[in-house]
Amino acid sequence: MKGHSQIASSFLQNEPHVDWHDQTLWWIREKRDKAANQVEEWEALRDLASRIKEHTLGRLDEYLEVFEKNSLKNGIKIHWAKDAMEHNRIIFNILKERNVPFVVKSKSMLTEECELNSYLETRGIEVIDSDLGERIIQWMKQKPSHIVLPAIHLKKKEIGEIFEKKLQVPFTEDAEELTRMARKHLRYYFLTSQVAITGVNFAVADSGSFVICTNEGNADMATHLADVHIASMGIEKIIPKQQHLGVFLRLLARSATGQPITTYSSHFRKPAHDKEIHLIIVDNGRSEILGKPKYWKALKCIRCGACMNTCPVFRKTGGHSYESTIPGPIGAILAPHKDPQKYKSLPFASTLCGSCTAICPVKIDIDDQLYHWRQDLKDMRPWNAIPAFAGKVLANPKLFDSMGSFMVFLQKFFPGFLRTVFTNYTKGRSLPEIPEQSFKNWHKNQS
Amino acid sequence: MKSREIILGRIKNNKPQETASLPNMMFPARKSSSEEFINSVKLVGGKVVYGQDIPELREWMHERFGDYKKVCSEEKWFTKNLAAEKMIHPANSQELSELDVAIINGLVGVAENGAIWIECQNHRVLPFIAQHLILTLKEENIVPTMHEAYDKLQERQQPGFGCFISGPSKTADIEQSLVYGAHGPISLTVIFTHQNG
Repeated sequence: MKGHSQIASSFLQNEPHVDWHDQTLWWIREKRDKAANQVEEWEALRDLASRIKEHTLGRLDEYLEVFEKNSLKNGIKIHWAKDAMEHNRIIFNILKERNVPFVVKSKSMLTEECELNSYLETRGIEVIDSDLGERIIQWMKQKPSHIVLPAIHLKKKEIGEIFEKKLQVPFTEDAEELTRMARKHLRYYFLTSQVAITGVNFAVADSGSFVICTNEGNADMATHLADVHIASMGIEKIIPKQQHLGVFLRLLARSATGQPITTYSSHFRKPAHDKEIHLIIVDNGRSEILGKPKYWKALKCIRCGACMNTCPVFRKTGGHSYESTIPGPIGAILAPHKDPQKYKSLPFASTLCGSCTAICPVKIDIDDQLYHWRQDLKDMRPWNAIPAFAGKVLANPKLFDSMGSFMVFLQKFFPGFLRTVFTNYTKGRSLPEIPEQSFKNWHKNQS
Repeated sequence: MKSREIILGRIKNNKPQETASLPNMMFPARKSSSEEFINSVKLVGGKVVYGQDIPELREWMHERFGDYKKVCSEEKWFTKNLAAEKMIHPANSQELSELDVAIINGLVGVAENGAIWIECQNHRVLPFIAQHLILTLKEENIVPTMHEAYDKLQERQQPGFGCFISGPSKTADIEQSLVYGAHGPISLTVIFTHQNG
């Protein structure tokens, strides 16, 4: 099975594109910094958000029951799904009852995680992704490469070509023209779809309501025009009080894109007259993570994507190299819970620089968890002589000294030999020149 | 056993012990300013106009929206002053989708991010479906941050649906080029109605 670094090699072939990807995400990271710096109490907000989430996860069963009670009172229909299959089945049954040929969906990483689209499509129901970026990658039969910017890996030319093919429109690379075409194309589906599927950003226990944040307005167009709104949420989306939304909405968009807030923060409490809201509360492995002392704090995640924008490995390898629904640093600590064998390379796709932890708005200990995973997964990785040997050498000062001299000897008299041995370490970089004397010798001669 | 019981049971067994109690939310008292609000609306792609600076509403609308045909307004000032044949009471989605301009009462404005709280009871889709959106707001309803906004909402009866709207609909999904008017309104104008209330 291919690991992260092998998969990344195809992304890395197009160097100008890698540079563009790297710089664009860094630019978003800088916008995040600017937005965060404008809020005097930013660090206090991060601290609050982290504590609210930790508190809630410690009493998650109680808060879920309070939420259920209040939302039922509000007329929302509640469903519980222990796994992806049950989640998909619940949605299919609602759609089948109404005999709908298609359904509009706005961005939801949970439905991606459950692979809802392919489940519905094999059963004859077309899914229309309505977020512009998601619609584009759906056309291209790809998956999102970033949780907030799903089409960040694509260039205008590719997008223009897929519009030409799918909408029979003249080719253009003009973003405004393309957006207008998509607006017209998707409006038809908003106006005619009986059912709309969305995710959930926050579910509020004390008011029995939930909040969806978008910039495009697709979730609102879809849900208010359809007769039935199906919202899917992971169990960890709960917050105790409506007042807490202030903390999270101040952090979310600033961390994600550097906007002070998303264009729309829509609060759903009751279905409109003659309409229905179905809310599916999904576990799918989350309760298991909750029971792991080293890892449960990853459930605090509010899916802002800031850790991806700041990560030097993500920026230079692209989201698809992770091959998991959630890529980047947070994906690398979530995915191995699902399938340690498949995702065992992900915690190694990191420099452990800790930049993700430093900017995470809910203060998840991402770099610590990456480090823990490396210990926990080491037995699954093929035995590799070099790190095993390096471990022995580094643990023994005498051996370290003699190995050092030996390396110097090799590099001096057989230049190029070390490169051929340490191919993975020397790809794209050269070994430094050998100095006249070692630091140790130099230091000894100083006194 | 039903999935509900299975999930809640698993959480009960697995949930971390000794997590912190719910933190207090204490923020320094701040003053809000119309100026900060106006700058925030500008930053998110909208525009703020003082009601008293619009002497002739029909002319102003024409300047801003050209040859607009269909308007739906919650605000009496518009209903009274615009040509009657342009004023629509949409009955279904098709009629809603033909709207050029929607005018909706904003209830709370947030200075730090330009967001305005609306509760659209008749047609929830109204603020999203029109080509252009006008939100009216009384200047005294501007608060400094989201915290004060939620405090203010707490005093009201909670609606079935409500939304903070900050700027026109937008997307940057095509190579990060910002385009206004993704699926919702292409433009947002906020009108301060202090004088015309």
